[in-house]
Amino acid sequence: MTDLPSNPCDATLTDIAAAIAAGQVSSSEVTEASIERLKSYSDALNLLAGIDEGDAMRQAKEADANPGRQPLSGVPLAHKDMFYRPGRMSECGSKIRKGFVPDQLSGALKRLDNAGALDIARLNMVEFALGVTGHNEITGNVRNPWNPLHITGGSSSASGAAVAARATFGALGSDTGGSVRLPAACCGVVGMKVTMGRVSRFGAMPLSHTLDTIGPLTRTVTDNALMLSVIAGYDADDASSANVAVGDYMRGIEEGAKGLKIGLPTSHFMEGITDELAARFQDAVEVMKKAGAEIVDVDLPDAIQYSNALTSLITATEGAAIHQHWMETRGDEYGKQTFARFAGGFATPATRYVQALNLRTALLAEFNEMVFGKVDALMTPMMVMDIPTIKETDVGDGPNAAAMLQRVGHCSRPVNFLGLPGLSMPTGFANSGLPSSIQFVGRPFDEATLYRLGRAYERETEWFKTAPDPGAWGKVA
Amino acid sequence: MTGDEVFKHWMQNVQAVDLGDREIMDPARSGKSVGEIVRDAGGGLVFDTEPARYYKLLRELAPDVSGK
Repeated sequence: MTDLPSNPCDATLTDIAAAIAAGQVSSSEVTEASIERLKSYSDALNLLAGIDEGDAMRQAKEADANPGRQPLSGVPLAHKDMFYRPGRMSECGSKIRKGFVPDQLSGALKRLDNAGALDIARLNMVEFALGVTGHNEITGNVRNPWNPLHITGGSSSASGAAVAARATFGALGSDTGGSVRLPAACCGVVGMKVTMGRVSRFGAMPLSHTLDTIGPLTRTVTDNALMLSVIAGYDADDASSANVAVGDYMRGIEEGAKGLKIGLPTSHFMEGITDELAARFQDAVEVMKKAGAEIVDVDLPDAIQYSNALTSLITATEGAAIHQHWMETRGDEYGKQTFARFAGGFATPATRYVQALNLRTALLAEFNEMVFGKVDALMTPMMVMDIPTIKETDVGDGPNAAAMLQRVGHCSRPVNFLGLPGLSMPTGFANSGLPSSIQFVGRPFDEATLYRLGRAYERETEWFKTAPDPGAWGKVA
Repeated sequence: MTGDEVFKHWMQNVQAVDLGDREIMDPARSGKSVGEIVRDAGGGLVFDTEPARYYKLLRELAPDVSGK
């Protein structure tokens, strides 16, 4: 029997799945509690893009009437509002797609459906997933559960906030330049940016087809591994899907860090980091040493310093190609920053865009030799700056926007350019009371090693047991 | 918005923010143009018989999960 908290929403994904499977609690009870949390917390945190309570309870009753033996049978989840389901709206945080009802079923949702999970709500996001802070002029800013005056990170803003607030057990996000890992970092939860091609992108809103990835946000590393186990794998409907064996993420997750070698980067990732975050990062390194990992310094290719800018260039160019028609005909329906960033893509010469893409091969080969020739994973901070307030990063398309976006994405974007997996996880709290975080970066398709390292850290620290206080939130202004 | 207005919007707003006379990518660090950034990162000199090798390389570098 699982030891369940008084409100089932406070359980982890792994525990609630086990409790439902054992008949300890019904899917209907859990779903009702989750709906209540999502609705009541949304007043303060602006979590919900949409919820159909009747449909959610219908799904739950069906799960109770026909209990399955799939890994997530009867577990209610909610996802970023960009994963298409036939007959249901998917508005992508935008005015442009207001009321859009797709006829496709997202490959990731299909796998979650087949695993028995319920899909009960659509979560707010940054407009068209283009933004690392979480701001959204159209649907309003999602609020950070640890302090609603601060950003959630983006673009999977409410995915991070809802998981942190214990309003959902797990949520899908998308990561093109950090959009899973940065909300995870700002909200103190676990986020996996998968290897390019690991999870199907069929039926998910496109932003940048060479960089987009889909991954889970959860409270714990084990929950994350469970969710990725379900959604990972080849999908013939996605031409970019990789037919590479997935393996069993849960099997080796408790093996600990002993025998694994972790590299600390000697360049780029620590540049510009605050003294406090550098000290917290060093604390996390000590935890990994205590857990048995061998720690060594590793040099990175010089060109890694350009990967942040190159990721922006590719995203803006591919995004501009998708949005050009709407920008020309409905330009005033975009948020200012979204419009400005896409518009930057029109100025990229096609030859430079192709050259930027070609650089990925050379940089990946060099990075692989320099890093993974020596270590099993790279360990970096997830952010080099304190988590800012919504107000101080509300720069729209003003003169400070580009520099601010570069700084927030300093540690995330290089991993997108390389196409590698990156696990973002909490390392406690800074003096501000907001979460601090680290990132493990692994070989292509080696998410399993990242989970093993993440779980080793988590076992020593258990930060996930600390919950934000809803009493301190107030109402969204 | 007409096409002209859209063009003016992004010329005024985007050039001020991001482009800076086509210096769009990295004003925080160097103010380099797209071309300079791509060149400095090593781009533009690729004469590769296999231009789409990136995706193949990712798969080649995957661990053998059957042996793990």
